[in-house]
Amino acid sequence: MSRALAALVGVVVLLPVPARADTPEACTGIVDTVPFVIDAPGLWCVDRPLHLDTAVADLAIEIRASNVTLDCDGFVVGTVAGTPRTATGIGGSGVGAVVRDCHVRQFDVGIALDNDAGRYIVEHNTVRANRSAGISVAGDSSLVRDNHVLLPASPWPSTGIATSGTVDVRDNVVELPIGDYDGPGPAPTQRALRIDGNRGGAIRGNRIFSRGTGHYATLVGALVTDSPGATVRENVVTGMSVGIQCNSVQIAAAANVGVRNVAFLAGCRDAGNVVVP
Amino acid sequence: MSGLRAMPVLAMLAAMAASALPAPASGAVDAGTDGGPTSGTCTGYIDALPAVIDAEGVWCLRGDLQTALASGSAIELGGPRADGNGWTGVTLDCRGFAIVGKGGPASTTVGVRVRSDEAQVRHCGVRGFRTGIRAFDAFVLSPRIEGNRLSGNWQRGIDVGEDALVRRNRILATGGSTIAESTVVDKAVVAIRGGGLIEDNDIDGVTGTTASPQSGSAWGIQLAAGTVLRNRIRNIAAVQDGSARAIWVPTPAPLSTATYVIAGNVIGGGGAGVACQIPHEHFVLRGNVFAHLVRAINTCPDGGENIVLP
Repeated sequence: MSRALAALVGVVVLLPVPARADTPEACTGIVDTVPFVIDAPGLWCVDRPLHLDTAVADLAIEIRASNVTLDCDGFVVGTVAGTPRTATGIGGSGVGAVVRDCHVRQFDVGIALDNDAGRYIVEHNTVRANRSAGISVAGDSSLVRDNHVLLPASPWPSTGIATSGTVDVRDNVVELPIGDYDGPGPAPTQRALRIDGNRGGAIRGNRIFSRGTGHYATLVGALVTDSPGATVRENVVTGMSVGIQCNSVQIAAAANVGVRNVAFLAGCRDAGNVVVP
Repeated sequence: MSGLRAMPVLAMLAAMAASALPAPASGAVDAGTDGGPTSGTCTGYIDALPAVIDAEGVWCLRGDLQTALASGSAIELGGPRADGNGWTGVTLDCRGFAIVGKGGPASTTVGVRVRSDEAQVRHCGVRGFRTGIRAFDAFVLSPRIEGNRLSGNWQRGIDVGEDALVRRNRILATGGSTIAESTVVDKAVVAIRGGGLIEDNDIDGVTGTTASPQSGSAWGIQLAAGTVLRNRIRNIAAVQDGSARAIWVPTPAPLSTATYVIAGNVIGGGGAGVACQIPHEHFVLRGNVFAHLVRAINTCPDGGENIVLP
């Protein structure tokens, strides 16, 4: 079948439905436009692709209430094509927020949650092409897990997942770009994980890769600072300038696998890792 | 260097058991359902095949679909946009329903062909195609293939590039094509071909064909580059003079920066467990369990803590 005919068949059989037609009854409300403010607790659902015009607002979905769960069910929360990446995709300071299954792309920061009381869960999201950071979580007793974060090739320094406070960072996939840097000034540093002030959390089971060829910038798999009780273990880190970097030997790295990193550990206590050049 | 002590065999096996998918229910619905939430809304539904999706959103099935196509794709997800960016953000969520090819073993069909960047295929049953799910075109970046159940596809289950996420799929009974391929590399029957991150999949049954000379090889995973974690692979069977390999790692392209991590897999019932064309650099093979194989590790560097059972 020719592509044209196939496309015609597709047009015939794909039946767009009213967006709310099969909205789950359990949803407290629907996020159907951006910018949008969630100001009541409960389960909030996205039912269509959402694109923010960054000339109009600098935050697509704001979680203002406590105990909000935002479930995008795979829909995109992005920016209007051609607009600058100056905004934040999903953000706010409501305590106990859960953000799941969102496809967040082309912002300055994809997901940003910030409240010292924390209790955040950020899980199962695809976070891509955000300029400064993919996911930023500041708040104790939080969990960032099973997200897929891809950083763009850009002249700005950027971080895949940044956390502040006691946050478990588990089972995420973070991909950093590499290529030949041709921008002004020195090549920026790209970090997959930036962990700060984590006292007792686990940085565990994450898979951190660089992709492409060449040398784009300084790539750091995980930078862990001021986190004497944190556990960094069972992560797979490949293709970095520095695999895991700590600012104190009180931070132990154990049972991680490092392959083809220029250096695997810097400043951390080596509690037994598998390192292959 | 004390080794990968946080991945002891018992913990690994426990993780393996936890990740095993439940057996499929009998009846029309024929898909795994372990790829994430499914309770939300759909942009639209696919009610007949073939279909082309060229719009952003989450596209769903609401029943099993069949096609007697002998060539082409049952469902095609997008393509490069007019502006050349190729970003359509398409998700195909079959909601547990199946896409069934009726073209037979001589067909050249693809069940789901991904032609756009950032695409996801999840919760689909795919059976009866030459290739179940294909995301291999040059502009397809980081496809995510999760929670699908592929069974009875004739040549390949999942065929992706080097930066895919292939997770929590079941690929069963791959093989049976009667097409005589001209190139050796395409002759083998393979459950998963590609690279990136391949984890927590369940591969059971890959059988070479007698379609042409050198077509008898059967491979569970043909790895271009990347990380292979916690998969279960069993019943890999070659015919004629072919090779049976649970994981096959060929020579990378010149100047490749490929790295390989193969850990925590359980492999049983076939010829070779993990076989390399050359003794690769940048290669970790560690903490796997091999059982009932002719040879557990062939040519690859042994990274230790692998368990080989007779």
